[in-house]
Amino acid sequence: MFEWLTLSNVGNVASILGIGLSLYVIYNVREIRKSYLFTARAPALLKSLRTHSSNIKDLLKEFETSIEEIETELARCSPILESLRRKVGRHERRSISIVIKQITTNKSLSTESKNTVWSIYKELLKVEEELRNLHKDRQWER
Amino acid sequence: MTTESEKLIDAVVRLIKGTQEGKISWTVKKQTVFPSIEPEENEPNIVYEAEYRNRRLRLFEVNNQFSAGRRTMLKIIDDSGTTLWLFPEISGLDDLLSSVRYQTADVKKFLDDIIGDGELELEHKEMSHSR
Repeated sequence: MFEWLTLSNVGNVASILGIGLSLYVIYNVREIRKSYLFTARAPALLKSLRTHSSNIKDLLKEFETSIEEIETELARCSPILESLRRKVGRHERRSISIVIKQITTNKSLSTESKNTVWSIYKELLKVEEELRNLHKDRQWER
Repeated sequence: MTTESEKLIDAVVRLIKGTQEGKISWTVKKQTVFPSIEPEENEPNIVYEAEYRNRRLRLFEVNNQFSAGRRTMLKIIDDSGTTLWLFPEISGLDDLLSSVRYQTADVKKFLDDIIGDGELELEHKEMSHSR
């Protein structure tokens, strides 16, 4: 047992632990950075997302004549969602990715796409709700 | 797996859709309100009500107690107006309120009336001639 306890072996173990610790610190620093970025930027980004999703809901009243405007509003949502995705944890990232994917696959809408737009609108509301709750939680963590 | 809040959002979106498509009819109700001990129970003088699947819904906006701004509230009430259940604060309720206001104010018909108003069109033509 004590034969193994040479200076070289202890040094090796310490190095391995050091690498692990460094990775852990790097991960945590990244998470803290993301958390601060989210806390600072979320209100403005969520407000902007709120405006666009509300516009989509209004445009659904006259869907057939508003298809181009809805496409524009959806396109405006994408960069906001991308920006939010970079600032949140894995769980929220998944929900945001689902909406982004839905928007991307429905870039050009047809007169048949009304229900799809309703579905995207619903997912946008879910993301809003999730991120609003996350923002409230983060304010308590500070 | 669907969470409780996802279910609620689904329900609110269905109410918005039903309202916009005219499947749910809302009415404006003016009421006399006495201040309540519970601030949550304070309702404004004007509320919106609708019948949906034998349930009566009441929708209104109040000043938010804890922060600046307004909060939209949706309740299930009984025939005497007593609250049976209050929806939690959830995304989409303010959108529902805006759709309800649009419906009760009959904005669509008003816009169609303006567009179809021959007199206004005549005045517009006169204005463009005078330029």
